[in-house]
Amino acid sequence: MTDIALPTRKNRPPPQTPSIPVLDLSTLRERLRGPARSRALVSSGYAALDHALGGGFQTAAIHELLAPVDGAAAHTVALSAALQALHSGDSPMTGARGDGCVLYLDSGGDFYPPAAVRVGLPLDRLIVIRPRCAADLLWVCEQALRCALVAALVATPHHMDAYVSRRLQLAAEAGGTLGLLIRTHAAGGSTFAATRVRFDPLAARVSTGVRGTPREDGGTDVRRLLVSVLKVRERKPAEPFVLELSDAAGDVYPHAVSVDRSGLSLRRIAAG
Amino acid sequence: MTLGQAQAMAPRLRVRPDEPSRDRRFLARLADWALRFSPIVEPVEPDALLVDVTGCERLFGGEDRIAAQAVDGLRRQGVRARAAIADTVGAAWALATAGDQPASVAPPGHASAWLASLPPSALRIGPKTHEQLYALGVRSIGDLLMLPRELLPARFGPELPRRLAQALGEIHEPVAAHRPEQVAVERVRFETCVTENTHVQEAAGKLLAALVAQVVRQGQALRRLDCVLTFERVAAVRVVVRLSRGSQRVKHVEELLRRRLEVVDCSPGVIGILLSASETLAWRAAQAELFDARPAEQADALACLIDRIANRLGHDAVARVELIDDYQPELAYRYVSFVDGRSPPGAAAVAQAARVVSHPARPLRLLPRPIVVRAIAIFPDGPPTWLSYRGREHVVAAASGPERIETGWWRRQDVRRDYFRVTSETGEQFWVFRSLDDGGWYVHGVFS
Repeated sequence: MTDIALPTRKNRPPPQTPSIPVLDLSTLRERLRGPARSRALVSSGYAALDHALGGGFQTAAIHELLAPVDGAAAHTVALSAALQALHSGDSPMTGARGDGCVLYLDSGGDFYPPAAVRVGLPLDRLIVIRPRCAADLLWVCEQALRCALVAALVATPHHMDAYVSRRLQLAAEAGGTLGLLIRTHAAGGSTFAATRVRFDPLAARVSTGVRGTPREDGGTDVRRLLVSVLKVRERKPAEPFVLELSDAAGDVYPHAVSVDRSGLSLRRIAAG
Repeated sequence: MTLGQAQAMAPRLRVRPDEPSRDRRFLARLADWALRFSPIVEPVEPDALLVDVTGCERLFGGEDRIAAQAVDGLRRQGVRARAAIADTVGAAWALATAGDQPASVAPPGHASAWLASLPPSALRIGPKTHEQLYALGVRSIGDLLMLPRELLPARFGPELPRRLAQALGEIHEPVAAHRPEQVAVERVRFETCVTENTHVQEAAGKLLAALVAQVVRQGQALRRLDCVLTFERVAAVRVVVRLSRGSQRVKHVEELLRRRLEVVDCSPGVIGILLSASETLAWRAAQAELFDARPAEQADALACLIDRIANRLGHDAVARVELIDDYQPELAYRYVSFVDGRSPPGAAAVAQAARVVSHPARPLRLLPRPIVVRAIAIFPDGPPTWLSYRGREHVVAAASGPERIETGWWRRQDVRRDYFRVTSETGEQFWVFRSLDDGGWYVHGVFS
């Protein structure tokens, strides 16, 4: 006979009344808000911008990038952040690729994918959608933001009021996605977006030669922007600052496609 | 001959890649078509159809009418063909491949007489046997029949006597019936007209569940669904739902179908619904990963999203990007729809991406067509110093270039351009070029 204590009537623990866990309101809200990734931050690819945003763009939220003129480089910043969002889904241990993808809504019909490849976006994880009208664009935005497998969405809505931004923000919270909305018109009014950043191009800091004869030896591969953070959730907006974008994708984590970049000017200039 | 040599000799040569699988599919389609002559049809790759028309001639008014109709029908589908009817497969084959008539009929029992004048190659023999026969001076099947039959196997191997015996009907050769693909279909006829859209949707939903069950039983997944609503007085309405990948999920397909049916005007009174699974794929269940924490539905959430968007915007509106090795910037990529069923880009795309990165910088926004602008350049080959674009004037502060792109003459659209990347004094960057043909300045893109 082995000496095993069988649960008998004597040594069995006394039955406990099933305790109902007491949840306070904030815990319930937290639960409603969804998984823990709702607070995750995604780098924009530029250290200075990340700093001004308090670490980067929040996922599960939409962000307004105001670009009052065509050449304001908001698309470059948006694609750079989308790339970082894509890589944030990769496994940190094995480096295995996640299964998220980037959706680009090309409402103007002028998106040029080869340039996006240069930014570093892998083509097999880029989906381009060409909506025909403003209503379709907003509908697609809402649908896509609800899909957890969309790592980032880049769109240029023509019109977005507080009601639309609230709807899109709720969709992004439901899906845990990153929505980057580039707005070409000077937008005012209230918004439910987590951030609102304005980009204005600045004159390149190059010494022009003789008046009227622009230098031909470059000076064009670095763009200068004045970045004004108009709204950040839970933070005071920072002072406007100058950001320099070089042709290489971002200055924080240049996720290079597996190619030889020796032919490129890889200038990393700290923004300041 | 290499392709290059051929193109040098014939400049207007159009090159098409050899696609055996497409040929096979096309032949199978022709076999389906040939079922109108007889229920027994066998497609023989690469380019033949065997039809057993025994006893069918009475329906068509004679064997010569069958042959003529077959050739005619194929010609109307853009296929040049020769038809022959004979007692045996071998004889019909020989007449069709080597005969000089578009449609020929060998009367019953006279196969050998008809075959005598044809070359021995018509007997489905290999080129080596044919060479041997030619060396012996055998120019026709008639000559071959003169040789003593019992000596043939020792001299030429077993194939020639077998083919000969098949052609003469001494060995039976069956025609293997080709089975046409079965398309899963569900239909309903209403006793009275249904004018309520929601009722039609409801009924279609029930049919769909039955249809998907049928498809699942066949081990298939739905790729394309055709829904036809028939009305009493007006023409039928066809709604097509395409899926980006095979699906067995009723709920997902039903949602797509409902979105499409919602906008159909049912007020004339629907009297019937027909659902058919017009395209299916062999079902391959996604393999679950061992440590995959995601719920199973999430895995194909993306496919569902793409289906929903494509269903509303059209299938061309949702696309993957494929790079093309072309120096003309606007032709260096193309959009590929998800419903095309092409495999996603692999290693070739990575190599292609590497080439793109090695080019000088390209703007993120490229205008669909270049816009003529007014510009001033100091030097004839130099960059512009001033340009007016979309109602605003820009003084150029810095420029890089030129990058000369001279290409496209083989498309008969010469492109000769000097591209500059210019930064205006306000900091905006444009991609402009001077056309070397007309000397004009164009804005082609915005670094945005």
